Amino acid sequence: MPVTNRGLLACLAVLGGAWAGPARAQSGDVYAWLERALQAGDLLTYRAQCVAENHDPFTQSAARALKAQFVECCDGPSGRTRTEYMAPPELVNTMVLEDREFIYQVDKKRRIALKQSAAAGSMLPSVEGSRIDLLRRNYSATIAGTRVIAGRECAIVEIMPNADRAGNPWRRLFIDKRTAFPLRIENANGAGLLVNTKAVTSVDYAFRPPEGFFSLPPGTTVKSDPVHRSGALQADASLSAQLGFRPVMPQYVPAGYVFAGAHIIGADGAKAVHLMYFDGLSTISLFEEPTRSRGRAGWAPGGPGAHALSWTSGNLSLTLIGDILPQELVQMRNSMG
Amino acid sequence: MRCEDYKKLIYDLVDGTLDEARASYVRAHTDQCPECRRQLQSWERLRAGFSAIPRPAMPRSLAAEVAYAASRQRVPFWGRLGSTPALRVAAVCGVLLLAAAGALVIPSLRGPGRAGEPLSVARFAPGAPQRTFEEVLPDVDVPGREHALFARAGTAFDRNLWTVAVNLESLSLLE
Repeated sequence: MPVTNRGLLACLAVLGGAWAGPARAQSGDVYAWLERALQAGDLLTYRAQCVAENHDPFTQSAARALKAQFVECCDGPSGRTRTEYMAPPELVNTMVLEDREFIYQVDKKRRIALKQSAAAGSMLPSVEGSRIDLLRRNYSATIAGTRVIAGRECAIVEIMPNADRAGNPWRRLFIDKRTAFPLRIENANGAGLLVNTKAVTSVDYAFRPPEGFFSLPPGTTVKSDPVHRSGALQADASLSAQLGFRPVMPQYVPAGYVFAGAHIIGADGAKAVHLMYFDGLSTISLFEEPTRSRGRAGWAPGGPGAHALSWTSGNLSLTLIGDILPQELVQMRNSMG
Repeated sequence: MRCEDYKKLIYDLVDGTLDEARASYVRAHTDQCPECRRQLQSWERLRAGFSAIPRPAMPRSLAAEVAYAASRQRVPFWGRLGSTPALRVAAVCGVLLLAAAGALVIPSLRGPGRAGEPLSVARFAPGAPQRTFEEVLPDVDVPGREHALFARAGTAFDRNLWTVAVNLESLSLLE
């Protein structure tokens, strides 16, 4: 986000903070709610206790579903956050420090940090700045009522895919009316099943981080992420030249998705291209990597609510990941010859 | 508890992983609730019927894919956390259904290297042989982790969910 816009956004946030909107806003207001909700993390300073759960019966057994509990502290204007996990057990000693450039995943016990490129700003080069337009084009948003979450009055915003895009996930946001911060998020898959939720159980907007709060603990050893990413690229001849092979582009892309850009990822002699598609809310990734032998093949869970489909074609190993219906991924795969 | 909560426990009841007290608790509810009872019966039928399902001949290419996938030791973290008997039953049934319908429904979901497949989709630059990500980072699901980074950048709403995914998949890199 350009720095020049931050002042304006901060003003909007202040105005938003002073405005407790009506319980049922006009339908035209709903995208303004969403735009503010998307920017809330950049504007607000807060400390929030959160629970994120994955309920997807196809990727998780309900009783063993992934449940993450964490405290997230954010200083929006400086773009820094600090997250500390209480669950799952694998992450109990983990603290995550983020700024706009890097993510430091810190093992507090062993005082080791993995430095990763946040790359958020460059992940969506072709659609940065037009997200809300894509969202408007592909989804219908409505205000479905109000509810109190973590002691705060929230507007319930339902985001449903347009009729021609049935099979795409939908979301329900519970947006704090005074700050536009989403205090609860429910994601359902294309079949209408609730697959994951994130809920804030308490939030403190008066939180002011002490000095050094977002710094690495003293004596921490920093390891760099072995995976490097190129800057944003377009799918043109220069991409093929840098890769050393010509990436295969799908002839079919699910309705509403646009090509959002590409990155070359590399690590110690391995190189792959990550082609990205985005519809304003959901993402599809296509990875292509040269392989000398048979690569991975078949289906796998692809993350919260997502599926991954891998296969090989010629000398390429390919993987598609998305939270759309599996048959859409198959159709993409089939369109690649 | 609501029916939704009971439904989550029904999977584990069928798995046989609930302790006796909780199993009785869930059964007491399913005895009284027709909808949850249907769900329980459906899962029990699935489990009971599994062994009786005639196994159609699996297309060779798909069988190879499944065998290869099964041989892979590394499973994405969400797969590891979700590995239960019920899930495995569902997955195997899904594979059998795929095998039965695959040739008709998704005829091109076949293994690589089929006869006559053109290699023109990729042209490699001559030079040093390239290593694969599986060789370089055998304990990391690189596509899964990269997608999680992309997804968290895409939608600020879902940032936390995907951040957890990135953090879990990155754990082995701290070793």
